[in-house]
Amino acid sequence: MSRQFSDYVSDIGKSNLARLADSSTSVKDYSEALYQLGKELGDILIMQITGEHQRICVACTVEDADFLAKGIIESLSVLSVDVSLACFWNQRQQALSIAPIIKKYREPAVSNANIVIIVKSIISGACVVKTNLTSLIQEVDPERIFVVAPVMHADAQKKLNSEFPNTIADKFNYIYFAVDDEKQANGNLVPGIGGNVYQRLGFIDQDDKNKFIPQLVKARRALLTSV
Amino acid sequence: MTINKQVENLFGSEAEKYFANKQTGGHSNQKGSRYEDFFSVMQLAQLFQLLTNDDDKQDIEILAQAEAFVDDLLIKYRKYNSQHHFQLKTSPTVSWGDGLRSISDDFYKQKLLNDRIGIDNTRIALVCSSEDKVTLLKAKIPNNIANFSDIIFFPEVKTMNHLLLIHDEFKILIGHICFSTDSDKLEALAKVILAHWVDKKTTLSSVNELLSTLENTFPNYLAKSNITINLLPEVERIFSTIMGFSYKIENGYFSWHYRDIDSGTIPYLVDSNEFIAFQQAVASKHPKQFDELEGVLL
Repeated sequence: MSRQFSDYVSDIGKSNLARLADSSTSVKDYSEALYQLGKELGDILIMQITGEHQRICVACTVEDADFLAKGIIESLSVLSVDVSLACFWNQRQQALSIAPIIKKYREPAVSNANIVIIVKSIISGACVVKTNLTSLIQEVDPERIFVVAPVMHADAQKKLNSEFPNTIADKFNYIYFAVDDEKQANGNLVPGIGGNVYQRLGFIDQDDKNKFIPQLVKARRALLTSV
Repeated sequence: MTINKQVENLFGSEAEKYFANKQTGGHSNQKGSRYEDFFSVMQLAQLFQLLTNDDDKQDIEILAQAEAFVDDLLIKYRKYNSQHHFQLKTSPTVSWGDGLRSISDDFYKQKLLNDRIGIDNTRIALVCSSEDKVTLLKAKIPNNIANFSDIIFFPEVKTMNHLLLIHDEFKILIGHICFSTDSDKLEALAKVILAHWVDKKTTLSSVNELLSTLENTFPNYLAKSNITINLLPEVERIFSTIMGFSYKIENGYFSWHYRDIDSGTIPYLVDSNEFIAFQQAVASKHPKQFDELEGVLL
């Protein structure tokens, strides 16, 4: 087992990564650690996104919305730019490396985004990120694509790049805190984020997390539909 | 008479040895041959569409590494006594060549062999991963094979997602048999077909049987055009009262939209028990607005 930290990570970030990896961390503390990591990743993104008139889309999965993605969006709020949200419910089939989308929440402003930030608590096989990003680029033609995760597998960048033509992959900018190179038979990285994120966040399994509607989605949709 | 004996009678013993070696070499090259498998998925998509639209379910065979001079992929249309051979090349130096072991000679001999064994229609295609090479090969096609030969471009990529993003013809063919044109469903169907093909190509050649095994797999993402269903009247009434909610049943699946914000698909066929249970859940919960309905839609 070996873990390499990126130059972006702070001591607080390392401490939050350790909270994720620790199997005794409660659901509440685990969620809080993801939120704090999101805030910190957002702070790094702020330094990378310069210039006025930027239109940002943050894209996430249902399980990452209320903590990791929320933290990033809150950090981005210091920029005076439009931030829209796309959230995906994926039905992952690990054996085939597919993750079809059974539901998506996509704010109208996503169509105008020139920067896409695709967020995931962990990127290993890159299957879910590939699926959701491919869905987005059918309708959006971003100038820059940030692929953001607290933890990635050592081969994740190579795998994700191979899923796209160079015209898309050349836009990728990876932002992460740690890279792990050990993968268990069940697909979980070691130390990764301490096992299966669904279960660590209190869901029973994939079906259970796919029945969940994040507060972030509910709140933002309520604002949109009340107009 | 065996096919090898036919070859020996037609072309002599040296050609027969080459023919036999081609089978052995072909089998070992087949291992891990992603390019050939991806191309086979495209052919299967076309054949599945043909069978789906064909009432009499004609007998079609598909063979990887057939006993043939042009042997990478062979499709036999029994009903029409036709054969379509494919030779796949990713090498940047591919050329027609001349003499024994050249592509042009393989194509020529294959046509003569097919004529001898009584095949009415033969088409032979060279599939090439370089667009520039395709143009060059088309310009230089030898006269003695030009009447029955084609040159096809098919890109070489590492992943199915990449292929769908860059090859419109492949995407369209998968789209014709998929229940949705969404990128995630197209990729899922293409990968399910690929997994079936890789698993069964050495044991199963009937395209009908391949389609049948695929149809019995869940989930399979295939369009089901022969399903007609009406929603329960109570469910229809509930949906009509939820402002901004719309739905459609297409190709056997129920998909929905809420304003321009939310959308989704129930991943079960509309004639399945799971879909009946979904309708019963809607009727039982009796949602009056989208917030109350969306939990049932998942």
